Amino acid sequence: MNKLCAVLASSLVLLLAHSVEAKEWPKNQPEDKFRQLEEILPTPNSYRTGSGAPGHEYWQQQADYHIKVKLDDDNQRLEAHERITYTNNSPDTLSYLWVQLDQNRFKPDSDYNLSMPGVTRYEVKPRTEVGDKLSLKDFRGRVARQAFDGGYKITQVADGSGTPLPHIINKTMMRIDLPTALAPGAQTQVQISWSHNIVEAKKHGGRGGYEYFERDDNYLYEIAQWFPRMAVYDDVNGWQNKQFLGRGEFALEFGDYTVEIDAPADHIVASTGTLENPEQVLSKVQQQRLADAKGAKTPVMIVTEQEALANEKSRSKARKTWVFKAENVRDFAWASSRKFLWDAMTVKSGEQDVLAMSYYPEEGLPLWPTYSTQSIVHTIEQYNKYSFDYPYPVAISVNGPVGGMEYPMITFNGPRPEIDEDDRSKRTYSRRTKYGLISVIIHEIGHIYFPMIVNSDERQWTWMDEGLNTYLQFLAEQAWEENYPSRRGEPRNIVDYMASPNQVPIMTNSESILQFGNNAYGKPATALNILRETIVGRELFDHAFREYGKRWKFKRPMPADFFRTIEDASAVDLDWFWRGWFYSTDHVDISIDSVRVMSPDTLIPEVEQPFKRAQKQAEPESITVIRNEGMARRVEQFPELKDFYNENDEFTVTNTDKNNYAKAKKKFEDWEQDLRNDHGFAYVIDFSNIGGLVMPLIIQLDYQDGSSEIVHIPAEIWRHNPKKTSKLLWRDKKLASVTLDPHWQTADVDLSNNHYPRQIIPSRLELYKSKPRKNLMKDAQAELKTDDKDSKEGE
Amino acid sequence: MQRPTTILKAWIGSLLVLWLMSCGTAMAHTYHAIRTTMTLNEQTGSVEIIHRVFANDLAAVLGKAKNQRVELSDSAEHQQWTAQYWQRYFAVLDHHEQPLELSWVGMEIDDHYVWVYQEYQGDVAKLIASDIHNGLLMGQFDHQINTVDVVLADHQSALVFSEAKLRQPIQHDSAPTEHHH
Repeated sequence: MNKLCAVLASSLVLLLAHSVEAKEWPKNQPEDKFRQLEEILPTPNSYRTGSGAPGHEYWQQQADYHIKVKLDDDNQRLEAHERITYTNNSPDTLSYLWVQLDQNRFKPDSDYNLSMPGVTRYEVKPRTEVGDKLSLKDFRGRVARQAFDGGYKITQVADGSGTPLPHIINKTMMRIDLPTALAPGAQTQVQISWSHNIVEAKKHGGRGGYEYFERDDNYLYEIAQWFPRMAVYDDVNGWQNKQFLGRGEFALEFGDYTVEIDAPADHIVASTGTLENPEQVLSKVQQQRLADAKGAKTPVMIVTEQEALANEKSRSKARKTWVFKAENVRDFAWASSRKFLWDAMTVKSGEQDVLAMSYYPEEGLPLWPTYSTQSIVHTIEQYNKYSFDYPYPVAISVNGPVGGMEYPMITFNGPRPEIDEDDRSKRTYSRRTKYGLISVIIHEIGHIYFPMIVNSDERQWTWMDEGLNTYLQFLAEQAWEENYPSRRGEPRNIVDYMASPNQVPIMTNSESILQFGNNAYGKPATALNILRETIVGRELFDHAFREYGKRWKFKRPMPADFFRTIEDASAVDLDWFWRGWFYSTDHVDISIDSVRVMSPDTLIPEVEQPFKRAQKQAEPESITVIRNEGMARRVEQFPELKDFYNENDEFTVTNTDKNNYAKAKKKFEDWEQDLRNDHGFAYVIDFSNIGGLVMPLIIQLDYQDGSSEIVHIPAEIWRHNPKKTSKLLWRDKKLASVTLDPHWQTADVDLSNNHYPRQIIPSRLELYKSKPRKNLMKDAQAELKTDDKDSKEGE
Repeated sequence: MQRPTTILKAWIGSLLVLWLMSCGTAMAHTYHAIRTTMTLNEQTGSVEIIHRVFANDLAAVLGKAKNQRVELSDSAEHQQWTAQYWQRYFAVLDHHEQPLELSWVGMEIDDHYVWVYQEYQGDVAKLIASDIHNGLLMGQFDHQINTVDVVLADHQSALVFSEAKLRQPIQHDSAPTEHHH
């Protein structure tokens, strides 16, 4: 049988093997990685279509608020009254309403406090003096938290005309029973009056609260989850009344807000919405500066450092009421302090001018005036490219006690420089702090798009806002400067987590997620980046992602709407990708098992016979042959025993061979002749899938002549067998080596099996050991940096 | 609300400073986690123990211990402190309660993480039969979760440590718990 036939036959055998294998799969057959996702996704309906777009009968409720709130700076307390106008756009009749009471999480008897574990010794062998000291601090924090008089004191629940409404409070939820059921299309009003103590943010770990500055005896307030908010009623879950346990964030309805904030007259208030009465709360100079900021291409100071320092010393007994209005927002947050500096500039968003503004205490200098507002502008410019134009009139970053948190139009961000307490003009910040600040602002401003506008249900699906936003954060970071130290987005940064057995799928409820950062932020962000760079391609994916944003802005998407829209807008079947990356905990580990080489049989005896001889001669001599060297042989002793066959080996070309070739050649078709004359090689590369996730095969072929090429094979090559596959590549050059995923773009967790021939990949620890060792003695003798003395007394 | 006493205020103040430094891990969801892998390197024959820690978290704890704000580095001083801290809060204990000898290799810091390297060069079977105590950063932050993934020849286990579960055997009787909801 000639070689081509061998190739064809072996291919046929391979095909047969596949078909036989397909027929004879045992009952515990391998999982079908390409099975249609519609088995899992909800059936499309008139509210949500099979294309992933809102249906023709899509609806959502509307909750409008008019709130009057008084900030008590002496007692760190809010007193407030709200009038909620609730519009039932659903086709259902509602006999009761659910309201979220998030502050009740801070009640002494809340689930959060009751479930806090007791004080434990953490050391392997506790040393009494040190262990007790640490435990005592820990203990004090716990006691302080549990002693705090937190939670709402609700003094009124009434209808629009003031008639009390029956209600019952179930931890962080309140049900209000309506005297008359609310019909589809009808509207009702609810009034609630309440007060609550504001938590100290650091101590209670909330997403808002106050910070106390001992040096100047001032408070800075970041106020969030502060008013009783309407729970969501939607087409998928009915009432979304899952309790607030602290981790799962929020599900909220859109509405229009008017909020009147009564604060000490020397406070500056930053808020969701536009300021309606600047002439009553700002000085003439401040009003002029604010006017100057409209159109400004660099930040303009509205409240300067000198003014803020003067404010810090002020103790006005007078009050001012700041009035803010916000349209089509799902929440409302604000901040207030006499410590705030304030700067602003303008960024163009579509046809609209947006005021980007930052508020920070002098403790934020010099980092904040340099980077905060610029980071807001950068975020809007970048996110607009990949989603939709920022639609609100303002975008704010406030520095305070909250590390990073988002609300419509306003975000709270934590990083600050280090201050030398002996000379407060000496300020430094580390590389981590600088990029930490830029990243957190990009992330939190980015959240105004997802989920403040694309209003996914955070309490159910964390990845829908954190994952999508972290993906865009990565794109925005990389557009800030070359080699920006992004923590998440690159496939190589997720491999440790992907390989870890301690996982749950991305499609897991927020409260049940085990490794939050990796599961809800890192893995989905990386998955989307892989879709963009490796599976779908930038142009198609960017269009599909924008389409999702356009379809669902100011609406409430569910996971299926995202999956379906990306496929609908890109014409790429990604069911296998969603299954693997979002519904499973498999990881990518594809191995090159072997590379086999074959070449066509020309049938030309003068070509083939010497080739066979050379192959034979290339074989190593057997040990017997080697040891028999010099042995006396009979034919040497009796030369007459030698004949034709001793002169010619089995590869000698005979006339019969030549005649056979001439005869065979007459039957060759042109294509066959061309193929036989092609002195190429058929390389068969065998792959196995160890990790479970199917992915495209990105193969780098390095040739012996020094050239190389990269071949992309789509993931569908795994369709028939998700565990093993082979690829035949026909090339006219001799191959030197093969590398799978040479640019580390698939998150393959084991690179050691990505090479043929195999390469030994040193472990991280080995790499560390091989680095030039530091001069530890010299380091030890180095003088300690003075900034280590910072904040010895606290701030 | 009453203002805190001066001492308490100073203490809270210093906590605020330290907490601020850990905000890199605090975008909306505050989470504190150390990921440890314990892997047999078949080339060198040693068990490599690699801990990945949020740099800001470790800096906050070092700062708390020193009662001053600290910019963490891989200086000899900070390496020494970290090595001692690890010795106090992380151990592999045999059934006689004796710690197996884990040698300190070193630590390095990148833009986000501290990587702490240890090695074990003893009998792997003895290691598999031991318990891990992991109290690293426990009690310093809310909801500290430390995971240890062990891959030693044919043995694999995935351990999750929390304040309520500081110690557990490397070899569980059953497979690692799956969390499906």
